[in-house]
Amino acid sequence: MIVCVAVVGHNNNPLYLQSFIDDDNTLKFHYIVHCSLDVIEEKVSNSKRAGVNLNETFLGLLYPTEDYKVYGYMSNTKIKFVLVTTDQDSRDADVRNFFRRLHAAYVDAASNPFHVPGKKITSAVFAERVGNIVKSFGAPAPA
Amino acid sequence: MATPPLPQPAVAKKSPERLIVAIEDVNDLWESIRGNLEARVPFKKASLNNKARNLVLVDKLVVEFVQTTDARLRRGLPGEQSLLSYGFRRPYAWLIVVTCDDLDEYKNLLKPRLKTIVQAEDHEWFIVFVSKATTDSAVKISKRVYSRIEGDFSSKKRERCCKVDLHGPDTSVWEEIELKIVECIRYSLDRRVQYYEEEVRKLSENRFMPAWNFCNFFTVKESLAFMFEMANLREDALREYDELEQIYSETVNAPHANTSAFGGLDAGDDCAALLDGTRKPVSQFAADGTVREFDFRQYLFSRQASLLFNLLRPAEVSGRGHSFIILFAKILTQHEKDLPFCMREIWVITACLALVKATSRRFSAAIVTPDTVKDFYRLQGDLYSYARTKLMRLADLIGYGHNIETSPCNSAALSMLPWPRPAVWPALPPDISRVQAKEQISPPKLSEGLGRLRKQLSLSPTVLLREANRRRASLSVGNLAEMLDLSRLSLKESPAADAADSAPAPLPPSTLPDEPISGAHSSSPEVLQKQNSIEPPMKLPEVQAAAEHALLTSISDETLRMALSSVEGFEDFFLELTRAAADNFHRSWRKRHGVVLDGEVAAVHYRRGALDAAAKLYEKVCALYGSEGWHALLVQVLPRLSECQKKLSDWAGYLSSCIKLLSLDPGPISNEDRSSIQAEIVKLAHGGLPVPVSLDVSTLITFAARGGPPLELCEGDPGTLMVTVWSGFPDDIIMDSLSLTLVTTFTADEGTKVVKSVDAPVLQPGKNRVLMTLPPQKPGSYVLGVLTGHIGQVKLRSHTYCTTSAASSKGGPPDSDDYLSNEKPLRTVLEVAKPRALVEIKPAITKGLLFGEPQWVGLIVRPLNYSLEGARVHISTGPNLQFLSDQTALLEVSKPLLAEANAPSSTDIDGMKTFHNMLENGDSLNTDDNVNGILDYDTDMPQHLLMKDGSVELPDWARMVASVLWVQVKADSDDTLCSHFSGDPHLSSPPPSPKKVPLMSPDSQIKGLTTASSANGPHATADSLHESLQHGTTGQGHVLPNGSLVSRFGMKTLKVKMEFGVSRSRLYERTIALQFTHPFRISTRIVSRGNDGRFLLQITLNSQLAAAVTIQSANLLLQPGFAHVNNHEGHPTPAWLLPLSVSASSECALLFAIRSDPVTAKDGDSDHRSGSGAGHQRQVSCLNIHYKVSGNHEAGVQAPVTDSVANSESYLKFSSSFHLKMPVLEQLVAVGMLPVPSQCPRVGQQVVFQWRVERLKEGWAASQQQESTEKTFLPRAHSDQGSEDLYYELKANEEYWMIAGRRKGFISLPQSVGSRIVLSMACVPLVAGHVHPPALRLVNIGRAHVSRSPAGPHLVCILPPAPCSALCIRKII
Repeated sequence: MIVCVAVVGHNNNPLYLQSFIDDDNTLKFHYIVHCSLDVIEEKVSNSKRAGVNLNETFLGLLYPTEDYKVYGYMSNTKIKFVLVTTDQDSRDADVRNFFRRLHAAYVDAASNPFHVPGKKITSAVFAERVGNIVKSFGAPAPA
Repeated sequence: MATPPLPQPAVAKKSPERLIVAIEDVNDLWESIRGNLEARVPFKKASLNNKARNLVLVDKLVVEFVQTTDARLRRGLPGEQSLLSYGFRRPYAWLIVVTCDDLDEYKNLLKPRLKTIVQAEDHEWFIVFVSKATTDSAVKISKRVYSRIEGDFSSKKRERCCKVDLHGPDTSVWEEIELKIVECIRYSLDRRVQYYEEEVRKLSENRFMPAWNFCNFFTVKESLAFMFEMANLREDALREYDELEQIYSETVNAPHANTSAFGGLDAGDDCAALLDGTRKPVSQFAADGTVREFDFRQYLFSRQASLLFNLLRPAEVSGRGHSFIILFAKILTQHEKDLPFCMREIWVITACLALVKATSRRFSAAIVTPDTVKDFYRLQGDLYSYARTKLMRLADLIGYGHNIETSPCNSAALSMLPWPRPAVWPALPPDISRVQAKEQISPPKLSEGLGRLRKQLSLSPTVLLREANRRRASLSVGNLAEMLDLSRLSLKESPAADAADSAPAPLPPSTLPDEPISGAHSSSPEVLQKQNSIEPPMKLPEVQAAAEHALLTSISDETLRMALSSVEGFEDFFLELTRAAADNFHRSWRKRHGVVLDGEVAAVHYRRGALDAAAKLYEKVCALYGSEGWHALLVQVLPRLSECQKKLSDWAGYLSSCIKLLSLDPGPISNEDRSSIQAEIVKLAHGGLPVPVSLDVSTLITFAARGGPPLELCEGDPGTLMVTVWSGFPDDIIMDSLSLTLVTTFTADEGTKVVKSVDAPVLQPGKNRVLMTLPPQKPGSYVLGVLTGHIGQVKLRSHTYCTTSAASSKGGPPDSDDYLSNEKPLRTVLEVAKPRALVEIKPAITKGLLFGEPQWVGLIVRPLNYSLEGARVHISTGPNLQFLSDQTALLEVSKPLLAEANAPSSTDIDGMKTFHNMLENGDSLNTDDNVNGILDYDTDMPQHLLMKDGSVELPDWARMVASVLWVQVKADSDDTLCSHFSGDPHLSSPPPSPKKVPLMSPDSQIKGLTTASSANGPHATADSLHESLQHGTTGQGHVLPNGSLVSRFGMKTLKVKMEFGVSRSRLYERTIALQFTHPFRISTRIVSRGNDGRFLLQITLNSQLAAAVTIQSANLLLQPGFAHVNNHEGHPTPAWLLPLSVSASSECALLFAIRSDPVTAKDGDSDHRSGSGAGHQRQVSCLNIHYKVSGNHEAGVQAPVTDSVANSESYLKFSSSFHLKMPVLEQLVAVGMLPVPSQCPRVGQQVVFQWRVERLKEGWAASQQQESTEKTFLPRAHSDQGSEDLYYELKANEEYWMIAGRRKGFISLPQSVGSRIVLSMACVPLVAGHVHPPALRLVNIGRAHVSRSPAGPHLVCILPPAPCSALCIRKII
């Protein structure tokens, strides 16, 4: 189950963070996402050693913790997408697909002329779209 | 398949296994060579085949030489143990040491024995022949024996012998032996590996058979691994273990795996043994006949770790260990119900710490790449923080939760981590004191001050009480609940968890669904209350005490037990772990992890009162969050930092933290809090600060210049600069002062200027406009620098200025983050121009002004891109120029027409365009009222300005456009004119002087009309007058032949001074020359003359004005001695000529018929002779003209200034006087030049000129001149009776003529009419060409009385001198 989705700007500033559990404690997700930036940086800057393809936007599992998993994805404009899930075994392909759709949603939101680049995404449409993507996570991708 | 007993590696593990080389000491020689051989151990250059049959160079191959008689070897002899389990320990090489110094002996004894040894077993052997020979013969024999041995035992394929000469010098033999040993080992190893592999393969194939036993497989596999390890092929050994682990996992996770005991129930099992493979004898596995997962996995990892350590790869141990711990923790979770209480947490803590300890001890950063080093530290940090998380969980469980900071970090770690779920919650301890102690723990006080901004985050996934009681209830009534899987209330669906310590926990909403399911058996506390009869639910202190008791009794790790036995112990341990994790993260790439954990360290410091240390660490955390815009997280830390700073009296830091709090996103902090923070700042600023504090408020206050082009100022000008300031303060904030620095760009000194706001501003939330006063600046471009505001002792500085107005147009503060910062240009807000001309004043009309009339003088005031707002023009006049200092001046827009007429320039046109634009559109540059002022103004009508003391202020509309200021002046004619004219004996035409008609000029300031007088005698003739006018060479040269009047007497000066600029600090001065003139220049001429004394006088009027002049009437008043012929009262003839219109700069002439009037002449003469001045006025004739100038001053035409009541019929009067002389009526003498000889004279050749002088009238010709020549130096003529001596003078150019004779002299001429005389004069021409001939003048006879007839030639042709030569023959003789 996806518990949190976040979009982080290229200056590592939070653009969008939404938790999907009925808990007003979203700060912990702020913390998780913020700290996962360390791992993203680590992966990106050591891409050769880590064997990550530079052209690959999907960064894979960032945190192998006992309780939750953090996946990362970075666009070529250095916008980072972070997914926190409590599923112990989610398929890589699902996660990839999720990120692709999230990325597309972000691109649409950022193309909004009223959106100031680098500012928080306040679009309700974007939030709704993210909600849909989260809901359909793991489901077979629409044809 | 029979289960062979598991190996017993316990002994072997302690001392690493060595490869054994067996020594078959046949001749008791071992001791003699032992030293040499053992000295070579470990072998340096051993090359062995690895599992993939590749040759690998193994350094430090350790072998042990064991004699075959040794008991250890005996025990391992074949047959005693299975080859599989023990085979790898058998010797890998057999070294047969022999000697023999007799061939026969060899043949008979040694050889058979060797054969027996060699063939006894299938092992690798070789023979070392030791020669002890010292003598030559012995050496020979031993050689022979050795060769025989070689022949018997060595084959071509393989050398199996070598010879050692004990007394020989050669030492290379030991190396050879070493090589041989290694060769044997290699062969043995290959064979055995092959054998084992075959076994492994067989076992693997049968893996899925029901009877397959993992233990067998394990034994074989591990034996293989041991073998590799012994041969120093640790990589291969490690691989074996990896495979073993994999197969084990598969076996365990197989669906039909027999569920054997998991293990972990032994004492001390909670203490991880993942690096200690010896804790549990693996033989225990054999005893049970099965493998316990708990022990076995740890054992496998410990083996892998020890191999990796030997491979010098401790970093890899960390990495594998971390994964292993996580994996193992999950496995433990699966078996949690069967394990002791909190076994998992304890195990993880101990495992992490053990791993960290072991790896850090062996890790050396020097031998690995920097990346590996960082990764290693990252893993260490991960391990520490993992242990820390579990420790927090335990601490929370036993009631130390208050001592854990409720930070997002801890919340993230704990709130998603489930509570321990033992099968049964531990029972209450027997002593109640623990429970009481727990009850006494009071929840921490809520933070005061800014601390209230922090959010209280939950640290637990769900309410502990409920979890604990459910486990208990499951004993009695909760089974149903268990079956209904209440555990799905796990972290995923867990409700907003309340603080774990809130004892009467409010019922979480998500427990409601439980009720319909479980009915009366709900586990909610209220329901449980009803179940008192069955078993009373535990209260929270009881739960905690029970947990504590259970833990303290079960924990075997001493450190951990100490840590959990007291709060202080826990804090110490917690601090140690946190700090270690942070340190390690700092050494890796994960700065954020490190800094966040620093914050946790700081929290402990804070709680313990070490505020200084806490503040330092909190600052780091705040900087981290603040720099990347994680405001939600920042709000959790910043209040704490501010509290520390406040308690430490670090006021600067405290205020800075407050400012930061205010500048955060408004979301996390309520408006009331923001207001109170602001109030706090202001309160501190106005008192309570020991020293002034400077604060950077760039995030809170931003500023920008207004859009559009930069403000342009001229050098030295003050000005005002409008700055927009966005205030992020929640309320109005009153500044004592506000100042701004301006930074010059592109100048060498890089100076900054400070400008202050006009008044102390009150900044409202949001957008404010502040006016800054600019003192005079140096030239250059300026950008905004730093905005500084003062509140009491606090100085607020802001460095953020926005350059785009995109955000400002939305009303919000501009972007403070540096997006597109590279493209952001430095916007100039102020341009100060270099010194230049700012204004130009020039006259609109400089010439053609009328004397004596009030005239408009136009001053074109043209601002050169500079505002003349408030400018004042001061005008003063030079001599002889009258100027009314209090008058009404006219100001109008300089029309292009006018500008063209004077000096067309582009600036004028630009100015006009600007002006018209201003009129049409209004100008944004100026305030509204000014624009209105312009619009009110009609450009067609000049504006009347009142002048005071010669000063006039320019109105606002004129500040940017060229305007013309018209002022009245009146020039007096110079009085000196008269004297100048009178000093001239010949010039008879006095300067004309205009005279105003009294009707037109009631206030005429002309005191006296300048009148001209002539000093010429009454006998002067009109001819002479005419002549003097024509040539004018004898006078002072005011009338030039070209006719234009450039009289310096007409020049007047006007001093214009203009004060302008801000506060009229600038001055412009100019002296303007004006030329005044009369409307006409007159010249007179006698046109025709009759013998009766009548003549026609032509007066030519040259118009001096640039406009048409209409002459209405003309009147000539004659001097005595003359009278008008027709008695027309001085009107010109014909009378119909007038009125006459004279075009600009053209001329006209008036004719007057005049006769001489002897009656009046006598009076005049007598008057004149008597020298009385009374009649002087009458000695001149005066022409009075009434005229009108058409056109106006704007066209460059000067009509006199008129009053508004003046009608158009008013005429100006011009009068000019001149002196008429009597016409000459008779000629006395005629002088004629006789013709020169027809042949042209040559240079140097004498020519005789002859003049004939004839008397035309009887009498004394020269006597007429007496009056006039009284004062001359001329000698008086000697007059004989009947003849008169005339003084003559020959005038010739001395450059042309040489006169041979008397130039001057007297000629005697009889008085009778017709007497004549011829005067001859020889002259020699000096130059060739046409030259004037000499002329004869009779000096004492007036020119007018001399008739020149016949007239002499004007020019004489002179030929060049003849070529002078003796040989030349004159052509004409």
